[in-house]
Amino acid sequence: MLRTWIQRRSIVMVKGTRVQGAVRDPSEFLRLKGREYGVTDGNIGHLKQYLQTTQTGKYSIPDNELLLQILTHKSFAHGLKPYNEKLSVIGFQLLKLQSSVHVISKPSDSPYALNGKNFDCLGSLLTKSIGNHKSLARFAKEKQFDQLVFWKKRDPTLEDPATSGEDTVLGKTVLALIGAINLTHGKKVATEFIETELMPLLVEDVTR
Amino acid sequence: MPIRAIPKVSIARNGVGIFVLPCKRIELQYCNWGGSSQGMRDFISNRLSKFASSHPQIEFNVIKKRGHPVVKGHYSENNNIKPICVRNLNVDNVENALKKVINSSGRKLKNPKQNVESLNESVRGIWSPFHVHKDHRHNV
Amino acid sequence: MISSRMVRPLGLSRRLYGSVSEVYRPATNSSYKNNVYSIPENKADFGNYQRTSFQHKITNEEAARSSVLIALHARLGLSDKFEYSTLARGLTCRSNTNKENGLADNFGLSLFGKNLLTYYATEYLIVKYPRLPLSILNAAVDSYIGKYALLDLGKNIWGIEEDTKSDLTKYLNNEPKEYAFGKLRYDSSVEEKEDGIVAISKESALKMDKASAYASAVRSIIAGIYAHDGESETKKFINSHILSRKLDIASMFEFTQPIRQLSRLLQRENLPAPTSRLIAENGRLSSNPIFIVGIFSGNDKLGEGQGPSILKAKTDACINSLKQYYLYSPLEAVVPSVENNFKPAFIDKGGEAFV
Repeated sequence: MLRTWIQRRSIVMVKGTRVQGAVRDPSEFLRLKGREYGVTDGNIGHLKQYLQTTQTGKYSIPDNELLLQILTHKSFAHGLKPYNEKLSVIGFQLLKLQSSVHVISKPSDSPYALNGKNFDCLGSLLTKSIGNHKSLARFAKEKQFDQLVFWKKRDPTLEDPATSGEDTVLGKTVLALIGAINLTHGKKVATEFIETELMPLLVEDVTR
Repeated sequence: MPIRAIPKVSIARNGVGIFVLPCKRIELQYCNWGGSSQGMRDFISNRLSKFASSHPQIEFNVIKKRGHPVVKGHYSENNNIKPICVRNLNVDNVENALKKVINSSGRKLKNPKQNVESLNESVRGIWSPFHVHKDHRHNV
Repeated sequence: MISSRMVRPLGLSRRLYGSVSEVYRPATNSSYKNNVYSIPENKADFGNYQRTSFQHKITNEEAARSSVLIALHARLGLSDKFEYSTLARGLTCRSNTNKENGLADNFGLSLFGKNLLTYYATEYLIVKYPRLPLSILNAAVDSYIGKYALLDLGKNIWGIEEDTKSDLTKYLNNEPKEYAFGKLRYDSSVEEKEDGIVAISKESALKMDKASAYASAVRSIIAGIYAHDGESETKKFINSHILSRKLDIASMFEFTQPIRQLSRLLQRENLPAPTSRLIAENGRLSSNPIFIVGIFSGNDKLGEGQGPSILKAKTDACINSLKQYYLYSPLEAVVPSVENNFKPAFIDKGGEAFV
């Protein structure tokens, strides 16, 4: 006969001042600047609305949990909550591919172009830096996603968010958004999202 | 400590997905004077152009050299070479030797130790003496 | 100045030793130099970027005279639209020799091919094994499309050969110049080779090792298919030649603390903490005992392991349970780039549970 076995450990949770080594109260660390972590309108409402209103809701993501995952960096709550790292990886690869497709598809008179596609521009500093974290972070700030992201600073003593890795975190959030659109709507829709929403800004950023 | 990865290289399975002919080049060596090259000379002058155009994947090199005629297959894998001596063979047998070279993988011939060789794990799993009923188990 | 004898912990280096430039050397990447590219007035006019070293290219007529090249074209099953000159260019690596000759090389093509390959391999793995930790995912992508995998593909399956003959030998053999267009041409970084001694030159960034040269050729051929036949053909080609290779991902995991990692994972998944139970044993007092241990979360058995001691069996069981979780593969998963009948992919919680 199989006996039900419930394991109990005596864990002391400390509220108030932090004690090193003690387990923290989840309600304490699952918040950021007074915002509580969770599927609430305040946390995901803005992103949801942005996706629903752009291109008549073509890119909208119905899964609220996924929207919250897009906005959660792995540094938040020590990765205990769903985080966006792998979404940002697939988003990054797609953006990199799409930006190189974008640059080689421009009309070319070069005698070294193959079937009208000039591959020689790839590898230059300019084309390489299309889609860098700085311009992606600029996109996030323009669309006001920067206040929604759950993350922890690299160094809590640093006051300025820019020096504590804010651009990287915001950049990864935008990449995760691309990744999530890719996995929920397919590559064709995600490519369209990149081309219409992101690419003009990214190209302008590097050619300025 | 995060989970670490042990780097590996994926293993080729020629024939899964697509088949690329392992034989990439064939050298036909003949002698212009020797009688043992008669069949080879006939093959080169009468049949080679048709044979080569029906095998575009393979590069054919014709070499004139003293001695017995040889058909030499060069293969992609480790640049293996498979030479077949075709002395005194008639034109049909030379063609058969060529077909043999083309159909070979270029690997050394060996006797397999197992009846089945596979990269995949057995679907059935391995029998375990510890998962039979307790009363039938052998205990030390 | 940092003395080389000083042992410094990695994390503290910046704080103790001041600015970044003191600790790290600046990158000296040749492609970053401006004189490599001639950039038009309007920087966004990407179609008219040019490599300054290019003066001529291998033409179709020249390439069609190389029997090696024609055979390779046929062996790979490339379409009629794929030009011989593109294939010849794909086999021309960026090197000092080609720079001096002014010959167009495959550098841009290979970069594009790399982007294509990385995306399609990542997409395939993320959909097939949605819960893989990022470190394993990256390593698995690398084992499909890394330079050693592409070296194996290019050399042992496609049968691309290196052009190792000197110009003098070619002249003495009466070998036409075009013949070598079907072979891989690069400046090797291996300088001396005698009795197992190999000197690797570090002088020029344009010298490369054999694996990188082969990898750039394979990538360029894939980019060439994109240029001439379009993306869907390229995808088919990548699927059949590269993603069809065998990779045992289960053997790539290395757990440092499997018991803790499992308990942390169950905590993240809101499941009862793991308990281990001895399922069977034999020869406890003998020289080689065997223990079978199962790992349970509540009433559910997560995995089982065996070993010569209870702790080893428990560790084995934890590793097996972790692999059961991370190697989950949904049935009938569809990649995002599929043309019709797309369905949303399974999205996991982001990867591994950190300890």
